[in-house]
Amino acid sequence: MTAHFGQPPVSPGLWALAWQRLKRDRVGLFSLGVVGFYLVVVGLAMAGWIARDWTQEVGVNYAPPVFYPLDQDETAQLAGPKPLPATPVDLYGLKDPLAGVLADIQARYPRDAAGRETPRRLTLPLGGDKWGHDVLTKVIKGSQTSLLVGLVAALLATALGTVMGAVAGYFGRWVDDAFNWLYGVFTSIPYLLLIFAIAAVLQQKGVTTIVLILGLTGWTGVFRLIRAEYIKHKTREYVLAAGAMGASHWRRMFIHILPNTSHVILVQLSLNVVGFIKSEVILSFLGFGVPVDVVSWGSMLNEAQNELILGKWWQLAAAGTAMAVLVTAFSMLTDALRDALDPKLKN
Amino acid sequence: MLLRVKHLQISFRAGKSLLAPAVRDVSFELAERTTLALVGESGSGKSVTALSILGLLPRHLTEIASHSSIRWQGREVLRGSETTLRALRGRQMAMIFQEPMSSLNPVFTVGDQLMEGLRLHLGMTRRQARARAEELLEEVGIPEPRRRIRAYPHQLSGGQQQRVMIAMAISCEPSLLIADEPTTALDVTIQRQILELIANLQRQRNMSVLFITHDLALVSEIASQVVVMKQGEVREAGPLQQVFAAPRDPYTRALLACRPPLGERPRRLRVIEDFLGTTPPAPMPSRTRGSEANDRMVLEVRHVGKDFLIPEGLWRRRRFPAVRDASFRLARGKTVGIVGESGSGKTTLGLTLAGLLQADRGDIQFVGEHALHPEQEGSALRRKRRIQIVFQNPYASLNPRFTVGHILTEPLLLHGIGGNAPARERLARGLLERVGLPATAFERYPHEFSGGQRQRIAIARCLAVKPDILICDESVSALDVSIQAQVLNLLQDLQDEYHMSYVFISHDLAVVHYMSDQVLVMHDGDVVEAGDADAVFNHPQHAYTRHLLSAIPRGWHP
Repeated sequence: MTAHFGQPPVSPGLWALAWQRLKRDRVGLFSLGVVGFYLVVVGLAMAGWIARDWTQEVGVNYAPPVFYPLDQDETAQLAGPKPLPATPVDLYGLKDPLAGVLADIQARYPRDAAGRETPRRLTLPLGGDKWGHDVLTKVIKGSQTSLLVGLVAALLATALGTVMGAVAGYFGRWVDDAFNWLYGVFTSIPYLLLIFAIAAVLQQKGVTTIVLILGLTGWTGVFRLIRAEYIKHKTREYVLAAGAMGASHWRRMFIHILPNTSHVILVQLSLNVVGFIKSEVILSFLGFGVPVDVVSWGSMLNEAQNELILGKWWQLAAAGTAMAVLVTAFSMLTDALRDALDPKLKN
Repeated sequence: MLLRVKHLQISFRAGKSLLAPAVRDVSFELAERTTLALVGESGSGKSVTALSILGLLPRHLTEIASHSSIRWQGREVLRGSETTLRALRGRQMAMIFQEPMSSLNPVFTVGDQLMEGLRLHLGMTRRQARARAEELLEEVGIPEPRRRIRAYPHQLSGGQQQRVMIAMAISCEPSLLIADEPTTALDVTIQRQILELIANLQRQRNMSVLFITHDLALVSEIASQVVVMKQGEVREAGPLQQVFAAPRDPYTRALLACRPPLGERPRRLRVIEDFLGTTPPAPMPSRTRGSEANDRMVLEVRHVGKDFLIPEGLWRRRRFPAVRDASFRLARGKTVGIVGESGSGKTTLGLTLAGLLQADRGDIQFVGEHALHPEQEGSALRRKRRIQIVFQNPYASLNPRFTVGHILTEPLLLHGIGGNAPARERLARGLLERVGLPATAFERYPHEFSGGQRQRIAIARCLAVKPDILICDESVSALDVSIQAQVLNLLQDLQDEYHMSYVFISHDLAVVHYMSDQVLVMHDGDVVEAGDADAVFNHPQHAYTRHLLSAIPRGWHP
């Protein structure tokens, strides 16, 4: 390798080089686009610009998707029975004490000419669920929950694993033994069992709880790899040189070594996101997940198992597809990232 | 003629684009029963040439020009099929590599690996192959071959591993042995044994040897024909006598001159640039070294020892003394050289001096300050300012994620030198200039620099804190000889300018002799001999020192 002094003075950093390599990877770039699209949608949903009113019962119960061919009978069945003609009621001169309240309600929820509430739509873009919620907005809102849980929990788990792995690998000896013992305990318990145990102890349904559960159990893989990286790097000459210069332990660990393990951390982070999205789905599917007022892909799949018996497959299809596409794209992106960031593959 | 290489031109592919040729128009001939040395520095294309003879270059990554030709006993092999090549490899030509440890498969015994070739190429039965393998091990000088045939590679020493590699190479009685830097990874005394082995085998078996090396001194001991390569081109070729006595190419002349000579000590070493002009370089005044009566001491090392704990079994640990007992005094502006083979404890001693390892015994005393008990007199940080270390591997000693500017300003920041960031940047740019690098290097990353340039950066980083003592731990061993001369000259200049004291650790006796006023010879953790450099090299007292000195390749003498 020779230096080229004829080039412009500012040289591409390692991140710029990684980006150049990623740009050449078509599959990676496409996956990046898909993941980016999800992030934009989730961002809009969080800002409240789309899918805010997913709780509105806009369609009839089990409204099929728009592309579903409806025949006469089914349309009639979905529309429900004809409303009964209004029967005059003789009040014998008494004044209805609830008339005011009733009028108030009727004013707030105007009914159509037939005396029904605002007419519910017979079909919805991706169909409706048992209560007539729009599945499309549910999927968008569910993406928000799932992606948020996946990202935050992965950040937590990766941060925990990195710090613990760094300390264990760098200091070695009894510190390493202690962390390895903890690692051994966590990995010896079957994963789902561990999650259930912590869920049972926390006794609280909520997004924060899920993030905590996944974050506190998911650090083991990161720990193992980062520890190995630190064991490898701590005897490298550049770290010894930093020590000879008088750099503190903290400085050597997090200023000198950490950037050299960033490719491992980044890849582990994105692997964890994929894993945790799936874990959230499993948790919610089994009923340990999000509370009833929150929708996630897992809770949708949980509802879908009853619907499927009735032949209403669209909620399952929508949630399943949304998850499959994101997880696949994220996995392929991770793969591309690993290739792009691996210093060994430098051209 | 056994082998005839003509107009060989090889380019590598990177993705879809073709890189500049790694080997350009290389032609040479190798007759029966001769040894030809292919000499060159890294990147000269010598190994690529050897691999192309064996057809071992990955075909999808290489492009060999259509007018190139390699003829083996008159037959073209360059465009031969894989089957004909495979029949040729092992049977007719065999190769040994630089790293014996990674050339042997660690999960098979050396016997299995030897017998594989015998059974495949010669169709021997298991029993025959075993008997032959024992004979071969005996022939290459492995003691107790009947027992060693069942040994795994890691149970053998580096020299023995290389012997096994040689046994494998000669097992099918090839007519040509290609040896690619076979002794570079070995100690100087082992190198001598392996060279003698190859020379003996060549004579006894009437083989030809293609010996690839960067070391001209070795060439003169083993080869009869020499081809000097640089950047893919042949610069000079001819019989040994002619190339060494009357080199025609300036590059060859420079290569011959830039190694430190053992007998004398020129003020500066020759570098390639000296030979590029039309006039021959003027004679160089020499430099005297050695301790003087009015030397002012800066460092006193008394009976320092360092043990390592080696796990033994599940619970027990055994103490292994890496350094048993080392004492010396270092004067201001002088150099103490430490020589020894691998495992002698010289690097451990260096790391202990630099404060990267804690000594178990003894006392390291700066003038007026105890290094072992820094808390008594000044902080550990202040001690680090006085002693700095330059490591062997310039590719590992610079943080790949830092720019050169970041690398150089960090010690300034840690020690509070320079005050603010712009002042530190000014100081760092000054350091770059001092070690002979352009100011544009400041914004660049280490991976953009060559080995010699990186070593300059590492030296600049040490200079940043203006140390009294600089430890050079094999600091020039990984560099090409021409680059080595430049870095040694830089170290000399810096010593003259700043009156720094050096602790110069190396396995390379010629370099240590050139750089040192005093020399310590270490063996198995002990200092076996110490004294003025010239005294030790000219009149060695200890048997080990004599053994070591006799193993140095002496270079060419008419």
